[in-house]
Amino acid sequence: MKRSVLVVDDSSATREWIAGILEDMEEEEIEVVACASGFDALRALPSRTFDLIVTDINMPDVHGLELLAWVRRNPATQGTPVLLISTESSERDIRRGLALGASEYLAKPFPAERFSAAARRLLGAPPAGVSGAP
Amino acid sequence: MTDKGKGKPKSKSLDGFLAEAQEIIEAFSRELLKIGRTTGGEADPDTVNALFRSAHSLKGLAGMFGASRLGALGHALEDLLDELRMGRVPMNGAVEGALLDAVDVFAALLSDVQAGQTAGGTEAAGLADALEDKIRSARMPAALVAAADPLDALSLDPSVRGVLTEYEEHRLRENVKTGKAIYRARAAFDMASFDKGLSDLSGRLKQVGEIISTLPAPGVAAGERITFDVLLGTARPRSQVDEALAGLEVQVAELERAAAPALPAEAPKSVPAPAPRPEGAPSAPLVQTVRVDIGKLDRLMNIVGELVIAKSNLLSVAEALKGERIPTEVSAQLFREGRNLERRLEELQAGVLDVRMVPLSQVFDKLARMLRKVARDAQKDIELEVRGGDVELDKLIVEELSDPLMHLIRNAIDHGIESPETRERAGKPRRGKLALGATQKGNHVVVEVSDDGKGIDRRRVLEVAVERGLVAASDAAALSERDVLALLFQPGFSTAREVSELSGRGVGLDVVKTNIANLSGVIDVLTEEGRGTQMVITLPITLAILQALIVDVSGRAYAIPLNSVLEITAFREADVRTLQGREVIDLRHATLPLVRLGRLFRLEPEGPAGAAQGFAVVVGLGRERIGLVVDGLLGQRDVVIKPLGRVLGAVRGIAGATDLGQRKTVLVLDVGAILTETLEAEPRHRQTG
Amino acid sequence: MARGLDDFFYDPDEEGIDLPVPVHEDRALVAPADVDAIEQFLCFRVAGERYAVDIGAVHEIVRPPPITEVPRSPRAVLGVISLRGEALPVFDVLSLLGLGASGMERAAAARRIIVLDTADGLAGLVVDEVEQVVRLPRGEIEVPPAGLGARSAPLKGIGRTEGRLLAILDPVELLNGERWK
Repeated sequence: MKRSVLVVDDSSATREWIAGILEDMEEEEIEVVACASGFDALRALPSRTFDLIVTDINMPDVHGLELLAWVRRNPATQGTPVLLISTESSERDIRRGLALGASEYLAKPFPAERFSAAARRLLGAPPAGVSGAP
Repeated sequence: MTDKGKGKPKSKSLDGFLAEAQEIIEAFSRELLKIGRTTGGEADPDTVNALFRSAHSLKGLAGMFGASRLGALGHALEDLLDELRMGRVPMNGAVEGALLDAVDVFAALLSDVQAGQTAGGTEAAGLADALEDKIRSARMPAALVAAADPLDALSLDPSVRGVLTEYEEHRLRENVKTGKAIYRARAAFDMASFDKGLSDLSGRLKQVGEIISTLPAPGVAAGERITFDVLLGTARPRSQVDEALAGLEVQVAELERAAAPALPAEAPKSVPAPAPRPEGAPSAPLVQTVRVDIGKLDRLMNIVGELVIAKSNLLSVAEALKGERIPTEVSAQLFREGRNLERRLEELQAGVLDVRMVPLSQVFDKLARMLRKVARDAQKDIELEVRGGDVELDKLIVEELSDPLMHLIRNAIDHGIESPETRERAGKPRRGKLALGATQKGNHVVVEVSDDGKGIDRRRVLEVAVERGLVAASDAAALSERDVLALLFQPGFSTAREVSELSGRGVGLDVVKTNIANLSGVIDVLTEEGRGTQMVITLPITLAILQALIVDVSGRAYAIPLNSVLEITAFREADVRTLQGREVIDLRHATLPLVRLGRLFRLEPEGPAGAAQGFAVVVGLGRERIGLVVDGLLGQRDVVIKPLGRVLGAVRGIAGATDLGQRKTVLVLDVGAILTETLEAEPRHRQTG
Repeated sequence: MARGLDDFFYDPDEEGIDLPVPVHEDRALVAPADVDAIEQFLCFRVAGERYAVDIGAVHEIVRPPPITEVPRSPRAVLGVISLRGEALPVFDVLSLLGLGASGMERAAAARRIIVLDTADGLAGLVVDEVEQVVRLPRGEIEVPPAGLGARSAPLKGIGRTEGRLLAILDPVELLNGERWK
């Protein structure tokens, strides 16, 4: 079953890296839509149903928390799992994100396996292998 | 992180990382320049925030790709900038110094990464350690003022407050503390174009206050319109806010304050307003750019060049066909299509050239940063004025200009501008002025480096020149001012008694001149003792495609770039005089030296000798003019200059070759070099006796 | 013999847009320091003498287009030609060898230009005639006698084919700037 994931981060290198991890996940067929800013994400969201949203917090224009708040208030996207990826410079911002309804957060930098495990969890697929959750 | 697992970035990702890191560092550097322009302990919050975001992005990026030393420095800088933007640390010399150094250390660390060294132990890592110490001492913990949070008094919807980041909250608090009013501007836009509408709204709002946050508002209709709330902090009266938003469909509401001491919505003008907000700079539009490999641009240029030649050939064929027995409609149509092609090609040519053009600000910004460091080290107080950063030149030229301009600036700082004490004694302001400017003059660009220092001591120049054997003592007195200044550009010349560490290892103005000459440019010096010095560089805008005048010299065709041609004049051999060993003619009451190209190139003359008339192509660059004597004029063409190849090396007076079609190669003259060669040659002394 | 050479020729008079690919396919022939290893050379004639260069250094062979003289250039430089839009210098072999100079008249009569691939880019040798590609076992190439002087530095070896002597030249030495600048 094909899944759609929205990746929002203003760093193109990061976007490509994460898209690579997602596309390489064998047990899922994942289609990645990548956006460089909150604005682009707002534009991309109505276009289809996303199974997971991965977003950074610090971005120009509309930042991750605002995007998250909007996703949670919008009936169409209310239930979409949101994975916050952010550097841990502002714990308050991350706590705020979780309070706003983020499903999970990962502190940058993180190794690929931790990310793919989180993605699997949020997409509802069984974790691959027996290495156990991070 | 060292364990990468399956998601290890491939080597192509390394290029992506390097390119992106480079961009972040450049953005950081650009923002940094704006900091220098504010005074006092306050730095523009938008700028500081932009710097913070750059450091933050760099830290995150470095972490993802395992560049740990770079990431660690980014982290240290991020902490400093966070405290700066949160108002816990003021902007002072120590902080500014650390930020300035950071750009270079980042660049050095990035080189390490490129070379595969990410952990440490390199020279760059040592620099990073030193910088981190500097950062630590710059971060003094400020006394925390324990007071009631003014935000609690604001009628701010808790859901809105919950969405604000810590920084946005801080800015909101600052605005409230300084007595500004907070407004919420709500507007709805179409999903397809909301960023344009929002950009317009933000632009207008920025003219009257500070934008604290932009929030997508709740209650959007599915897929049709999206509503945004923009929070604005301003000291201006409500009427001005409304005025700025005239014509837009927007609802503006003020967030009320529960406590009385807050200013009423219509603040009377008598309240001293804090430092004015940035003048009308619209919110930075999301500029779409594409990173292009300069090699690809060069290939594109070559293809366009070939097309230009093909077009010329086509038109020649059409011209030739005119005489043949071809039905006129066909011939006319051929011409029409040819002209059409020519127009499109001109557009394409202009377009490709435009892509290669970059603004001089690229190199000016780098120089501005360097200058502040050098001035500080030399303990001189210098104010830099930069003009014309938006003037554009071919990318390769701009890159090549960096070194020569750096030398000139260093010279101005070392030898030109005096110490503050010396200046004061001389009745000058303590702060010296250094101006860096560019203007476009037709097909050329003039770049200037000028200072209001002590000027060039001509007597000292002569002394040194004689000491170094550049000129015989007996001839010294006879030299004109121009000639004396020209000595500065001779190799082996240096007026510093000891090689100044700041000026580098004895690299002199001769290298600067050579670099400029390689770009087909010239450099002039104007100086006044006690008042200052001006170095003027004149450059052609592009070395790629040029219009050229094709001339006949002794039966051979040569191309002269049209941008150097001032006029073409016919003259009579009888009017040629000899002045100080050179042939000259009078051109509208000015003396024009002549250069017979046939003689210069040692070509056998063709055709009957002793013609009564000749043609002189008057060329000029900078302040000089000469007339190139040719045997005939063959027309005007667009040409692409191709280098002669490294095997051959440089040939005096020849800039390159071009293909005129039918595989006929024509050499393109280097006007600057011929000018220099002619004017500096020892004038042939008149035969005596 | 002639068939193999056709691949080399870029005919400027040919109609058509397709330009031939320059001729250096994988030349995996030279085995390390093996006396029986076969080396291939392109032979050509200048002023009645036969010379050769390693085929690996040859980029292509063309019929001479008009040669544009470069004023105030060294005597060995006959001028520049235009090859697919690029300008490259062409040299007089005799001058490079220090055996005198060919004037422009001889250059005009030359039938071919051998374009060599050097570290600094392409450069052409103007020759009277290109003959053939010869294959010689390395062991059969005589090393030139010492004592011929610096002028003979480009002479890498002497070979024999069909009973006639062949002077094998080193393109790098031949085009060494010190010799002709």
